Amino acid sequence: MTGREKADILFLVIKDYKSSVKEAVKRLKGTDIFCYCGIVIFACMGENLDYNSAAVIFLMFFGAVISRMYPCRLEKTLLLCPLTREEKMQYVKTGYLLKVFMPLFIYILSGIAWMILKAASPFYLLIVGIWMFFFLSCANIYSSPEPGGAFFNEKSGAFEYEAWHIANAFLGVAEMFGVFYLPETAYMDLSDYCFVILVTVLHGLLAFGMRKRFYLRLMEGAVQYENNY
Amino acid sequence: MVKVTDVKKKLGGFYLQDISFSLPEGYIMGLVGKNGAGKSTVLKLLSGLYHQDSGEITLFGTTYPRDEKKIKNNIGFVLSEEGIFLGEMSLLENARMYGRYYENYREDMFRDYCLEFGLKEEQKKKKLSTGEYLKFQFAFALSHQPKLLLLDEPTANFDPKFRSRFLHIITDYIKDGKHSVILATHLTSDLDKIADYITFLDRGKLLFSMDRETLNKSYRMVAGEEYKVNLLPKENIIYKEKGEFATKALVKHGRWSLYDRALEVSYPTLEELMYYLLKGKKL
Repeated sequence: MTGREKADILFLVIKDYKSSVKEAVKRLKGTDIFCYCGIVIFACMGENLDYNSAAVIFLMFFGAVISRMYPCRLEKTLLLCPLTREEKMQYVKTGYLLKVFMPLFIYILSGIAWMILKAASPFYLLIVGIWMFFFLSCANIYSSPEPGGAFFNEKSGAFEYEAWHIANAFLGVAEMFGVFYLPETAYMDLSDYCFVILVTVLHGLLAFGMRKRFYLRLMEGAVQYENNY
Repeated sequence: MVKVTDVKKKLGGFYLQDISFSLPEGYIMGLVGKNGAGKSTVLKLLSGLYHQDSGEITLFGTTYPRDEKKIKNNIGFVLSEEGIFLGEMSLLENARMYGRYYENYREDMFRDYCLEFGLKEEQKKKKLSTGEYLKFQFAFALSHQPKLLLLDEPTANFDPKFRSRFLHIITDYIKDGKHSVILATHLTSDLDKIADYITFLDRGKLLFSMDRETLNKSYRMVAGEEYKVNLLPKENIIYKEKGEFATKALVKHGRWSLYDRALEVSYPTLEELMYYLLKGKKL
């Protein structure tokens, strides 16, 4: 597939994404909203809440919600359109990448502004960026296509899949905790660094494992009508 | 143009078994059967949405998934299920968005059909009624000039005036001998007017698939006094039903079949065929 064809598909995914926002909001499940609101409330209960950590939490919240909004499966109409399997796969993969990198892109822009304003240290912004990337990579694998679909009918598969997702959610909470409770870089001690390294490594391994175990299978499942509708 | 051979498909508790039929270029096939007979499943197999468990489906001389792009470029769909096209976009935006995938999509044709069908192209898809939604799909299907139209129960939701226009459009569409239509419906009166081939399904099984001429040669409706009907060879009577004034029976008709002059003999309508065949289940 040429670069031009890939760019065409990206353009279509963005257009599709834009036009689907309202419909996608309806797809948000009650439990998702409950969970995300819970995380935000939990974070806001801390003593050291300041503008920066609140903004970071908002961005993480925004990224997590976006992950749930637009399912990474081929729209029914596109399944009827003349597309090769390669084009279909490119479409869902582009959708996945968009969901991971769009919130990150906004985060990077905000991060640059915070750095210029010296509102947050580069280390803090980098670590949060890495955590966001790992979290979104995993969460978006989970949200595409619906786990209840035929693809995960085997009980053991569904159980394993949920277990990985729960691990991602726990690490996400640990990161939220880190975002909010870690002191400024200058005041971080060894235990703080150990916490950061441990969470980052664990999340990195989780993201790598989820991608290796589920990504391709899910993308293949996302381009099939029977699994999704 | 379409050849289906021994196709099997299991979907939950539903099982489509040994489906075989073919449709040459330039003809209309009626896919008939009660609700749950498997008509939509057959159309979804033909459209590549479902993949058969076994058997072969050949369209335009090739098969899925090898030539999926080529096949789908030549197929137009009108499906009765929800979720086709994006609700938040207007009809024209939808047509532009998905039309770009088709080699022969022409926007001017789409706009003309919208005008003809009484659709407002700037209207959002989610605001359409069921009948309008099907008309929109039909307009889009025609505007990319496919060789084969797959239509799933569209007529039930059309008003009588448009239904007649619709039947006229599809009969015109096949006139050049290069296009074909498969129309799934349980409204058999439409098919009585236009179908050249009939494929009859019941609970996932194929009861028969044949052209109208063979169908007309094969069956007769016989009505008259019961004892006269009973004189017909028993093995030829598919099903008989006693009415208030006469007994009616669907019978297998042979070239040399003779009927008592007191019996009223006619070609069965598709509705009669469906009813009596399902009751008799003897083909």
